Amino acid sequence: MKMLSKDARGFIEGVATYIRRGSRAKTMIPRVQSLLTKVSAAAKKEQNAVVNSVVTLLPAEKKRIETLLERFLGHAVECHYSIDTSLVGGIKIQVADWVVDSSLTTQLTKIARSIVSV
Amino acid sequence: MEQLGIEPNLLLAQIVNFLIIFFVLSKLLYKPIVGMLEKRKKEIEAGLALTQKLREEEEKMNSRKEKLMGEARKEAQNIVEAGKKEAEAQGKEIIEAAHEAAGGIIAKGKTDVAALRTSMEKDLRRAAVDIAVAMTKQLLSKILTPADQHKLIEKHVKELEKVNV
Repeated sequence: MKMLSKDARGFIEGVATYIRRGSRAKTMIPRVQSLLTKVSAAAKKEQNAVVNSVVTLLPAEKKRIETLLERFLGHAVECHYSIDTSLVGGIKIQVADWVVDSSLTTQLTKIARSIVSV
Repeated sequence: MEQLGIEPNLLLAQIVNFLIIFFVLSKLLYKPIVGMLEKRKKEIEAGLALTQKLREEEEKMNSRKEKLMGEARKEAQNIVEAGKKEAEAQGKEIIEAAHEAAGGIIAKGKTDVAALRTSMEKDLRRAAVDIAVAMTKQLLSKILTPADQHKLIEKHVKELEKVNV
């Protein structure tokens, strides 16, 4: 248990440093770009989007997100913003069945999965 | 003769009587007795011959019996030897089979232990990572300030903006 807690502490410190300093180990976390390659047909027809974040988004951030979605989907969508602390950090955008998830919780889960599968 | 008290007539008569008696006896008694003795002698000889023959037969039988006993003893010994050899061979086979089975059990045990160890290591690793992830989430929730959160959002939005559709 002592070793386990030591390892866990090391892992946490490593992840915290990674997040604070910005992504250098890009191979560990899937790029957001790869998520965008699968914009579904259902998403292109959808008029509403759900945007989750840990903190309330600033108006400027909201505007940039809406512009982005319009560019990706080819039409304007109505965004519904909500707070979700389970994301830990980052944002999660969902339009129909298409999801752009750059939350820290998802990234951590993916890192954990890659460590376990080694 | 007379001076000796012997009367010739009487002597002659006695001689004649004797001869008659001798003749009669020889005819009526001597021959049957001799015949009977001869017969008895033959019977005894036959008995002796038979005894001799029986003795010889007995000796032969004894000899044959000894021979048969010897053969039987030898055969029994051979059977016992063969039985011992077969038992030894079977014993060896059983021991070899037992060794083989034991080897199989040990090998399987080792494999099982190795598999169990690998499985336990995986489980332990998974548990450690799960705990680490949970702790990281908790820790990050506490250490990331709203400013940090906006920085993260800014970074992700920038990445999205770089994407060419």
